[in-house]
This record gives sequence, structure tokens and C-alpha cells, in this order.
Amino acid sequence: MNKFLWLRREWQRYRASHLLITATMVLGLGGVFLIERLKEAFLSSVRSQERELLSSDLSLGARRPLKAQEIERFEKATQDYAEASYRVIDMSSMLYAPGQEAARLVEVRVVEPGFPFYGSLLTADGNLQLTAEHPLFIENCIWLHDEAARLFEVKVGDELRLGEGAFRHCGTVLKDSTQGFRGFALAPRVYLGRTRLGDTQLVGEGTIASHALHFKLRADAAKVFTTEWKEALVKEFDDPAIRIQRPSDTSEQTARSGKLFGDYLQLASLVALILAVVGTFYLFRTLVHRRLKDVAILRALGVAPGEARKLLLLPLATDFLVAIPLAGLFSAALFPIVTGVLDQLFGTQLPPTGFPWSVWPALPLIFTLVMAILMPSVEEAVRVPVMALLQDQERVGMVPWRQAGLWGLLALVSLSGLAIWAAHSWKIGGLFVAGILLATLTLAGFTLLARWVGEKVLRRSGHISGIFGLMGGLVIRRLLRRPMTTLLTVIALGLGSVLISLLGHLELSIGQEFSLESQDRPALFMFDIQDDQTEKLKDFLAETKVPLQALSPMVRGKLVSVNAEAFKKEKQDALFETREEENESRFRQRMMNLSWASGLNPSETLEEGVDFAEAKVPEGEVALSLEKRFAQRLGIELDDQLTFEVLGVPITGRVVNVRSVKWTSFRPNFFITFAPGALEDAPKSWLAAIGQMPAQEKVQLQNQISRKFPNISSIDVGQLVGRMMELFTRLKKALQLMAVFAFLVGVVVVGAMAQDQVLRRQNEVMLEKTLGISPWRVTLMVLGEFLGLAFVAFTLGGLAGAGLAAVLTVVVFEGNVIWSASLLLSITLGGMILVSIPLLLMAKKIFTWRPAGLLQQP
Amino acid sequence: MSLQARELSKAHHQAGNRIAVLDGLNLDVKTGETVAIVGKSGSGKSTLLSLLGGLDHPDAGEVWLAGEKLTGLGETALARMRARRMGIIFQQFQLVQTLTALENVMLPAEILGDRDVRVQAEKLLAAVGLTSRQHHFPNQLSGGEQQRVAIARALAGSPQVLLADEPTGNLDVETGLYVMDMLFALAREKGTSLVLVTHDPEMARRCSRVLRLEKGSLQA
Repeated sequence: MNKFLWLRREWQRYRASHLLITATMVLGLGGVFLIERLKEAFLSSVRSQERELLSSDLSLGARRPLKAQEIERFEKATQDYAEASYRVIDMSSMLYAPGQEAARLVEVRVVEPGFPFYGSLLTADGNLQLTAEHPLFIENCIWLHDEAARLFEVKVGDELRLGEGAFRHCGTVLKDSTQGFRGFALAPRVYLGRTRLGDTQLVGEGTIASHALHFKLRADAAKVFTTEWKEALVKEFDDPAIRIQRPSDTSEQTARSGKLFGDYLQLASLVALILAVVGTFYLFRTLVHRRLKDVAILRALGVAPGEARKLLLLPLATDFLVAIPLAGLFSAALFPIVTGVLDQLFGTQLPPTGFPWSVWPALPLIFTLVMAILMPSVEEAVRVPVMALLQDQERVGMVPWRQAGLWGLLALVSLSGLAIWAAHSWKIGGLFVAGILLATLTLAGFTLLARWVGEKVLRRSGHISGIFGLMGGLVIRRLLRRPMTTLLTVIALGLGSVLISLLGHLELSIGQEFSLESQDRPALFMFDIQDDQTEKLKDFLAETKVPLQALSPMVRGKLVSVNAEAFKKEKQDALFETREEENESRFRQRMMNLSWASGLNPSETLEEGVDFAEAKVPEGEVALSLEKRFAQRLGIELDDQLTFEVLGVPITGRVVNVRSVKWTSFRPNFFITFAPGALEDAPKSWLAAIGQMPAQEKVQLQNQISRKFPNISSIDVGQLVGRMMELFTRLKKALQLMAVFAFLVGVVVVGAMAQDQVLRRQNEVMLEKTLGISPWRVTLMVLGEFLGLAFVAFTLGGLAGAGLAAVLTVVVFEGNVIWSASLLLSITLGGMILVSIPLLLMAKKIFTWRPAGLLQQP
Repeated sequence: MSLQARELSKAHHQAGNRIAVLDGLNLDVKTGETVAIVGKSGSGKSTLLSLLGGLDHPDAGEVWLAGEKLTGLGETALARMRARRMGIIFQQFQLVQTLTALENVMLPAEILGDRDVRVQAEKLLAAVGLTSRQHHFPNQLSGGEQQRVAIARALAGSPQVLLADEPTGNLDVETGLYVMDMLFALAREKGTSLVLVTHDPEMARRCSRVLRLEKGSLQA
């Protein structure tokens, strides 16, 4: 049989069905393509700015001052290629504006002449040219980023205090190309000349600051400073604190948060894809059932089952192939709208991109998923009992359960593959599939249970009209007795609302967690407190009658061995296959913040083991307490022996307990806490928390601390929480955009299913009119049936989403669960309004069908 | 008089041409009378039946059912009229697929608002020999069984007129005979008028009157 002729005829005869299938696939694929497009645009934007982001060709950095021998070794390694160099120090500090009586946390960038080698600091008068004669280095000048200038409400010339130093606001930087995406920063940036740093006295023992040495290299240096070169040098340094960066490493680092966010967006788009697959399944199955007789005739004429399979699948594969470029166009059309929204939310202007080629690995998986879902329908048709069908008995073939199970398994495997591809994480991908399965099973389980119970009740009922009247009785029977349509509609509508409800409830729970006006939550969180300042600070707070909630020491150290086995750091900035590998590696590389305490503080809960007071450890060791997730990530268990190195001195401890920490308490908390007696002599700084107080007093206190202890940084916890909530809300809005897209795909899919259902029910509608049910009532019954289904689906989906959010809130965020009736109600009502649009378009058709059509059928 | 048609005209439009199907047709059916309408394919038998049943509107003329004029009534009123006074049997059975055989038979009476319909429906199903199949769905029944359910349903509302469009057209000869025996017996028993459209001369001869539809009008 000529397959092209078959294909042409198929399209001619079932044009509407194939158009709907293709359109559904375009919607599903379009969402995936759109997110890949956004991710590619984001990466290309970051890569195009990678030199500007690093500001140089190569840098050596650490979150501590660089040692002379480290600098020497690095300079020696680069001497043949280095053209120029400068140092940059980044730290957080309080900036005080006496004129405004305002003290705020800022990110201080300390620079040297020549900064930046690449990129620019744009001011109203053009780019800053930081030569050695620039006022930034020879006068008491400080430059403020526009965001900081607006926050402090200062003008050029105003006096500012940074640490111990008095400065003048000499200019405003409008755009800093080394800054990356500002949407994620918690404090605005200020610029200080390296020559003036001493005036501030900000850099002391234990101060947290990043120090970096940047180089401009000759044009032919790129071939020398390869990844292998870098790995070799990193090995040579053998210090987790040291970080060597090239422009490509910076772009990887800068893109990390964007990529992670993109992965979550892609997962949301997968929900839309799943809904589109559900729609395709319904439409294809309907089409196959309409073609059963054709298949029976072909089989009777001697067409082999394999050939019949191909004939059924060929048009579908063609639809899929046609949908790919169309989805590309669809995503291109949506791109400017979505980038516009993202620009508003995060201030990220993304460049236009071409076809998202990075989606190719996903296409075979999507194709396999679609095929695996549809194959049972194809098998039903191919195994059709030929004679029965030719005798006008509508019957389909039986598919052995084992074969159906295998197709189901293949669908699950391809969906899992897709989720892992989208999330770049086994864990998140697996959780996503588990969540989808759970939500689907909940929806399906409820639907099947309702059918079982409903059918039992109906059998006992003496008449069709029950408590819902005749119309209700007929509608309920239709819903219960067309389980596949009911189930698919509930799933198609329900999954989208699961996602919207999940995000909405998570926002509420996290919002409540952050916005709780708890007496335990501090008003101010302070850091960079020097060892010799603790007593003075205590006295000052006592004088001002401010409650000191907590004062904790912090010592920097590195983990060198676990149970006497070396704890090696692994890849640095390499490309990780999965997010888990990346996270674990990052934990291993860190210099760790250690502390000591005599027991648990109020924001900590003992999970395993015993308190320090009851702990018995071998001689020469000290008791250790680890945070639960930290221990899990590094695979450390109770009773493990850990050795840390603090400024070259080894300190060995034994894990006596594992505790959970309520991080949202904003008290000083640590992953690793020692029992007293081991760290006291190590160089340290202190963290402090000050209890609740009226807002005005808090501002005054912050100003006083800033004047009295200029090197101490203090964060207004309320403001920080506000900033975090704002960021979370922005992220949530972008995710919600995809959730709404998924929701709309569900509505479109159901619209297509409803359209098909209504056409298939033409006879039924005409029959009901013939039997004496008025056209109004008949129309209302069809509308009521779909709206009833939508009500059930949206309500169940909303509840399932709230349930998932509750699980995540308790398990992941360890917060309090919130249920919002108004959110659930708005999901249900909003969804029903959307669903009613395609239904109302069909209502006229239903109303005007003349029952005479029943008599004119052959 | 149970059913009357006066000067009934209906035309179809095909590719811009007007094709007159019924042209000033008159018909009188007395209470309890059985009338067969025969004619060639395309002569307009089904069109006539749809006008008599108020399923379609004539271009001209009037239809009266038990003294009430059907023509000119709105769709809702026509639907009520059909529910109260008419039963229709189709060649393709046309059962509601999501209702059991029993529920299909109960449906017409429930549309009229009767609540105690189950006993009567069970009796009707017993009368057509389907007591054991009352909880089966249409797709679980054979063609003959489906048509018997359709007959029981048509009689469920105690109609004054039964309109039957080729009721044995989709059945084998033996089953067709059995179904028609049942239809005639039940119509006689309930005193219902029957208008039967058929191609089958044997079936037609069993009616008290046979009318041939030719060139848009009926001839004895």
C-alpha cells in the first residue's frame, strides 16, 4: 500500500482530528521550547558578558586575605602572559549617612586603579576611568551605585561614613557591568579605592571578605590557561579556600541561579506537555475508534498486524514532526511577551534567540512518551475482532495486560528521563515524577471511587431523577459511565490546578514563616564583631537597655578528614552532570564556619544522639553537633570522627548529635558546633542577635552601633525578610506564569475534548430532544456535565496542590501548614469561567441541532 | 381523530436547487388505527415522519395531534408534546448509551415528571421479554434486544401515537418478525395509533391501511 497516498487520504478525511492533535502537540512542545529558548537566551547573555562579569582574564581569589606565597606562586605561573593586574576586595559593611540619620548594610567593592579591565562603570558623565589619579584613590571619595544613592537619599557631595572613615559621595554609578543580575542581590553596592581602605579599618581578624587578584593577559594566553592548567594549579594550592577563575567560570557561576530557576520553569512546562499528551491520547484514541471498521476491513483483506500498526501510527508520527517546527514558531511568538514579564520582575533583558537546539535530546524522549501512551489504543485497533466489527458490533481488541504494563513502564521511564533532563537533578526530577504520579493517582483514584460508589447507589435507585432531578440524574450517569472521558478530563484540568495551588500555598506558608512577628525573632542580626569588642558591645547594649538575644563565636576552618580518611575536595567549577553532584562538591570545597556552644539554642532541635552534657568522647577529642541536612549531604553519621584544620592546627571531634535548625529564626546558627574547650583560642569573630524592639528605636540603635562600632555590620532582619519575600514572590510569579500556561493548555485540551465529545453526542442530544426534553435543558445538561467535571477537577486539583504544599512545607521548609479557602475557591471559580468559554461557543450548536436528523440517518 | 396532516409541504435545498419532497400532503389517522407508509427510497417517508412527530418544521401546512396544532409551536412546547403524546421508534434503535435498558424505558415517563415509573418500566420490559437484561447497557445487547427496548421505551409514556421508521430495517427476518409481532400486539393492547414507515410489503400488509408516498403526496 502506498503510504503517502494513505497519509494524504487520512489527512483529507480526518482533517479536523489531525489539526487538533497537531495543535495540542504544538501547545505542549511550545512550552518546553519556550523555556529552552529562555535558558539559551539567558546563558548567551551571561556568556557574552563573562569577561565583563569577571572584569579580567584570570583571577585568584579566596574568602580570606591572599597569602604572599600564594600570590607569588600565581604570579610566577602567569608571568609570561600577564600584562597588568589589580586587586579587588568585596565585603559587607554598614554605610552611615549622618545627614539622613540612616545606616544600612551595603556591599563594598574595594578596587585598584585599572579596574575594570573589561566592562565599565557607567555614570551620567560616561564610563569611570579609574586611573591612579582618580579622586576615588587620592581623595576621601566614595562612589555609590544608583540603588544605594536612592536608598540613602543622598546627593553628590553629601557626607558618608564607612567603618572608621569619613567620605564624600563623589558620584553615582548607574550601571556596573561586573555586577551580573541584580535581581538576586540583598544589599546595594558602593565603590571604595584600595588606597582609602585603611581609613575604614574594616579589614580585621575574622572579617568576612573576598580578596581577589585579577590579571589582564595577552591575547594568545587562552590556549595556555586551559581547564587542565587550572586543575593542576588548584591541586598545587590544595586549599579549598582558593578559587581560580576564568571568564567562563564566572559565567557558569553567575548563570547557576538562573539555570536552577530555568530548570524549575522547565518542570512547570513539562506539566503542560503532560496535559498535551493526555489531550493527544484522548483525540488519537477517539480517532482510532472511528477507524476501527477501516482497520477491520484492511485486516479482512489480508493486511498484516504490523502493517496495520504502521498505517495507524504513520499519520501520528507526521503530526508530531509537523508540530516540532510549529512549536518553534509558537515559542518564538511567546518569547517577547515572556521576556517582557521577566524583565519587569528581575530586570533581566534577554537577547532574542533562534530555534532552541538544546531541546533536541528531549525530543526522542517526548516522542517515546507519546508513543508509549498511544500504543495500547493502536493495539486495541490492530487486535480488533474483524468479523464482529464488520457485523456492525462496536468492539475493540483486547491488549494483554503485560503488554499494556510494558507500555506504561516505557511511558514512566521516558517521563522520568524528561524530568531529569529538565531539572538536571535525579532527586528533583524523581520528586517531580513522583508528585505527578501521586497527583494523577489521587485524581484517578477519587474518580474511580466515585464511579464505584455512584454506580452502587444508582443501581439501588428506583428512578433516574434523584436528589438532583432528572437532568442531574442523566448527567451523573453520563459522568460515571464514560469513565475514560471523565478520568482524562479530570486529569487534564486537575494537574494544572495542582501546580497553581501548590505554588500559591507554598507562598502563603513561606510568607507566614517569614512574616511571623515572633518574639523570638531578632530585630537586628550583627556580624564582623571582633573578639575584643564583645564586652564593649555587651556593655553598650546593657546601657541602652536592649536585649542581647544571642552572641556566638565563629571560627573559619576546613574539614580535612572523616574517620581518619582524607576528605578530598573534588572538581572545581567543572561541569556537573546533576545538581546533586554540584551541591555535594560545593559543600566539600567550602571553608566552614565553626562555632562552639554548651548546648542547643531555642531554634535548634535534637534529632539524633545526646546533648553535649551527656556525651562521652575519647580523650583528645571534643564533642561535635552537626546540622541534619549538612550531615546527610556529606554522608557523615553519628559517632563519626571529624578532623578540622584551623589555621594549620588540627582539631578532632566526635559527632555526638545531629540537630535540625530553624533557619528562619534568624539567630546565629551553624552547621558544625563544637562543645566548649576546643576552639576558644582560635582566631574568631562574633555574631549577635538583638531582640524585638519598636521600629523607630531599631533605626536609632542601628545608627548608634554604626557610629560606635563602625566595623560591625548589622542587618535589619525585618527588611531582610521583606527583601527575601519580594524575591521569592518574583520567582513565584515567573513560575506561576508557567503554571498558568500549563493550566491554559489543560483548558484548551479539555476544550478540544469537549468539542469532540459534543460532536460525538449529536445523536444523544437529538434523541433527548425527541423524547421530550426541551432544547434548553439538553444544552444545559451538556454544559452542566463539563462544568461539573471542571468543578470536581479544579477542586480536587486545588486540594491535591495544597496537600503537596503542606508536605513540602513540613518536610522541606519545616514550617507551618496553611490552607487557603479563598485560593482554592478562586482556582475553582477561575478555572470554571475559563472552561465555560469553549463550552458556551458550542452551546448554540447543541441548542439548534434538530432531532429530525435521527430519522435521516442511513 | 388521533393525527392529522393538512396540505403539508416540505422541500430540501441541494446545490442551490429546490427539491420538493412533500407537496400539499394530507393524512388522517384515527385512534387505534395502524397505517403503513410505503414508497421508494428518497420519496420523503422519513421527512413525513419527522414532520408528524414535530421533529422538523414544514414549509407549509399543518399537523394536528389529538386536537392540538403542532405547527407553530416552539421547540420546548413540541418537546413536551412529544413526551406526553408520542412514541417514536427508529431504524437505528437510538438508545441512550449511558442508561441501562430499564433506565431507557423509564426515561420518557420521568421526563413527564412521574416518579413511580420503575414498576411500569419493568412490566414493559417483561412484555418484550427482556426482564433478565434490564440492567444491561445498550452495547451489551444484540440488535433485536435493543429494538425491543426501544419499543418498550416508545410505549412507556402511554402515547396516543406511535411513529415507527423502518423498525426492522437493521434486524434479520426472524428477529424482525418477532419484534413486529410485539409492536402490533402492544399497540393494539394500549389502543395506540401506529404510523409505520417501511419498505417491507409483508409488514405493510399487517396494517389496517397502506398508503404509498409518491410525488410528494399519499395515495391509497
